[in-house]
Amino acid sequence: MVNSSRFSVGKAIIYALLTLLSASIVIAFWHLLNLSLSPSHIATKGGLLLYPREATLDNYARVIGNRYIWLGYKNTLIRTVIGTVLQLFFTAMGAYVLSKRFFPHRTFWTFFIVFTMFFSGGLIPTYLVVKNLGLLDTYASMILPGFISAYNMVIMRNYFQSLPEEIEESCLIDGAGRFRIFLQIILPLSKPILATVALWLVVGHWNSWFDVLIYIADDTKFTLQIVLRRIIITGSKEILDTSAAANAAEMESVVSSEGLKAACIFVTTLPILCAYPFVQKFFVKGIMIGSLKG
Amino acid sequence: MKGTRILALALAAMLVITLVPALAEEAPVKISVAGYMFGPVDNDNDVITPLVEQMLKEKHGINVDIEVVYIEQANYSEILNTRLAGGTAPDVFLAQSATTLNTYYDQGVIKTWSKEFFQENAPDVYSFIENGAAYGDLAGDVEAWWKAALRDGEMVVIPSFKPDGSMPYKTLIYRGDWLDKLGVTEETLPKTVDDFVALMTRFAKEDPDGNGQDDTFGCSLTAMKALFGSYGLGIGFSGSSSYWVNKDGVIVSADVTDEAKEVIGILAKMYADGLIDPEFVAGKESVEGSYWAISHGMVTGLYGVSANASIDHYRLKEVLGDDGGRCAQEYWAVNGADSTFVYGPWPAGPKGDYGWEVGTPVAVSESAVYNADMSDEKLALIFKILNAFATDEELYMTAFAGIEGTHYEKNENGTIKRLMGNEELNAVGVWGCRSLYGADRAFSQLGYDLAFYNDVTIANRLNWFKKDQYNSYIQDAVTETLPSNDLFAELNTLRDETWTAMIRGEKPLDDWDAYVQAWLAAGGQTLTDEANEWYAGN
Repeated sequence: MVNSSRFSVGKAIIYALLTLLSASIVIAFWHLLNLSLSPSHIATKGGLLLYPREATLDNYARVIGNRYIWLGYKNTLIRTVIGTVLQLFFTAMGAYVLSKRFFPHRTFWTFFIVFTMFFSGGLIPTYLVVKNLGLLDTYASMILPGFISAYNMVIMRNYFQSLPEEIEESCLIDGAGRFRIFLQIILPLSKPILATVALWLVVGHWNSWFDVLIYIADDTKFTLQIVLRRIIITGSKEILDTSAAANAAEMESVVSSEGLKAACIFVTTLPILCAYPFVQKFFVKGIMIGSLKG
Repeated sequence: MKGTRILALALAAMLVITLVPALAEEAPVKISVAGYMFGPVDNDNDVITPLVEQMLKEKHGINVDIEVVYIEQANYSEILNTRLAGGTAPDVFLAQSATTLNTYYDQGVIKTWSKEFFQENAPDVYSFIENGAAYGDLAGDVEAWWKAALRDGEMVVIPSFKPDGSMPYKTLIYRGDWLDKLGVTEETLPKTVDDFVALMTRFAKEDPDGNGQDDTFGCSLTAMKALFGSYGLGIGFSGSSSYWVNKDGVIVSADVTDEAKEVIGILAKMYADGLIDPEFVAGKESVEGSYWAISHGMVTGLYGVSANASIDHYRLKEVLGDDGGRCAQEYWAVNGADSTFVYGPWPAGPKGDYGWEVGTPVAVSESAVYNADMSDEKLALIFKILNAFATDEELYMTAFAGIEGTHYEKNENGTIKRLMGNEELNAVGVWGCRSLYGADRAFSQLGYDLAFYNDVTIANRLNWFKKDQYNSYIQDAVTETLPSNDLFAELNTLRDETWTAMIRGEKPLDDWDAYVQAWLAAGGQTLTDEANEWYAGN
């Protein structure tokens, strides 16, 4: 028998590898943090910054002074909160129905939903649908087009199927209806999978930018990632055609400094980073339980 | 009978309803514009657009409601194409490139109009162009302008017309400290390929940074590309489509010429001798995410010379009295405020050829095109606005620079100094009407004086390029996008992979003929035929 608390070579290797892996992530963030605290003449020099050689909060002051960052925060929060709550609830409802063995033509409906994972309408048809529904320039255009993810639904369905049937039977005997069972018994029992899917949804909403780029023309509805993206990529491309003629305005364009970019990345990523550890405990548990039974 | 009475009443009511607004003031015509912008316009703080509308109305009798639409530059065509498909595209948008322009024209999404229509509605712009722009400097290029503007006899775009368009753009920039260490002065900088290779050898072997380590290389990727100029070739390696050269009346791609093979031979030798960074293609020139013209390898002291920027990017502080060019600032930040760099001449090849690609004064990338959905009346109005911008200095200055004292100041030399950053200026509406007054300047003496003739940086560039071998002349023999342009994607990959392998010694130079055959078979022949067909038709 191997004593689990005893030191073993295998364990040491695993720990070493995991430490290296985390270091590869932590160091990048640490470098970014130091970069964001550095004045521009240090930041442009490049190289790994393990401590701020000269600290300044100028970059943060400029980020905080940018009105689009705050508008972006507001918009991102709106879409993330509303989107996640609604999507989670409706995905769970759909998944619950599909998890019931007595649901007529269950295999067909499951296939019908899974089928959508392999195809998409394409950019322009989707745009036309969104436009014709009158959703352009609304928060709904950021939430509705990807409202139900087939993948999330299947994961949830698998989880619901793993819950013992007997619980529901006893509820039915006690007089609870299907909806009450779903709300008061199934959902509370499914916290791990709900937390897992919620995390995916939150991160997805927080990071998504392409839908905003396509559907939103009103700059007061731009989300954080769009603002961040603009700050990061300004001036990174040679926007000249082969005539090689200098575009006067482009030449004089002020390019965001490396430090400012780092500060922006930090300000926009930090909230989601902070949320991660609190949901993490459900994370592994959630998917594992779901995946055991098919 | 009752039905008829109701009908009559309804008709009468309709008549009244349609008459009432006609009696009131005529509503302004709505025009949406999506030009080149640095950031969105902040509608709450937009002071310029209302001012422009007011001036147009009061001084020119043009009653319009201008809606400035922000489309992010990085994904411009993607967003615009979606909106074109959805019918939500703005009235005025950018042609972006000759290729996109042709696509838009073929798909019928942009408006066409006759030369006469243009002359009638924008007479001053018309004669400005016909007279060869400001000071008649471009009189020789008027024909080229019309060629770029017309498709099948109809106008589709109003191309930009730039006196500095055929001015050489990029230049060799050497590290001053390395030259000092090796005792090379500006006068003794290499003017031939042999001397250039010799200096690269010294850069790589003689420890020019003085740190006692063998950690320096000769030149960067862009400076390597300069050698193709020594053999009379413009070159797209690596990444972009190559130049066409005219060999005694036959058009051939520079990618498959014997001269290119010779240059690859020189580069392979340099590589074998350790003068070239083994990772030369891996992006130490332009680093993704940072300003494109900065050669990071050169700035940080890995290479001694690069050709990724123009003299203006390395403008000295005294030229404009500002902080210096964008890349110069970076160079000083990394190497110290008293560090130096030197503009270098192009090395000449065996036939005395030298240089780098130059462009043409006519371009469409920043030019406006007009939504096919709009009426002729609206287009006429847009051209009247274009004409107003060309004739009314106050109006142009407002749209182009903002309010004097708040957004810009006049310099003594006839240029302007902007008092805010580009994004902030854009937020208050400056440049919002850009595509309504021209590409990025009005078609007027004032517009051209501001943009070119009074501009010290351009004068500065011209001064340098007056020196022998600082100037350049290599021009693409084919100035039009070829029908099978898409084939270049595969050809460029083939070229870049083969050349990189040959330079790195992974493939012998003897494989050149096989490469040329593969290039022709993969679509090169089709493109060559098309290029010659185009040339014959011109």
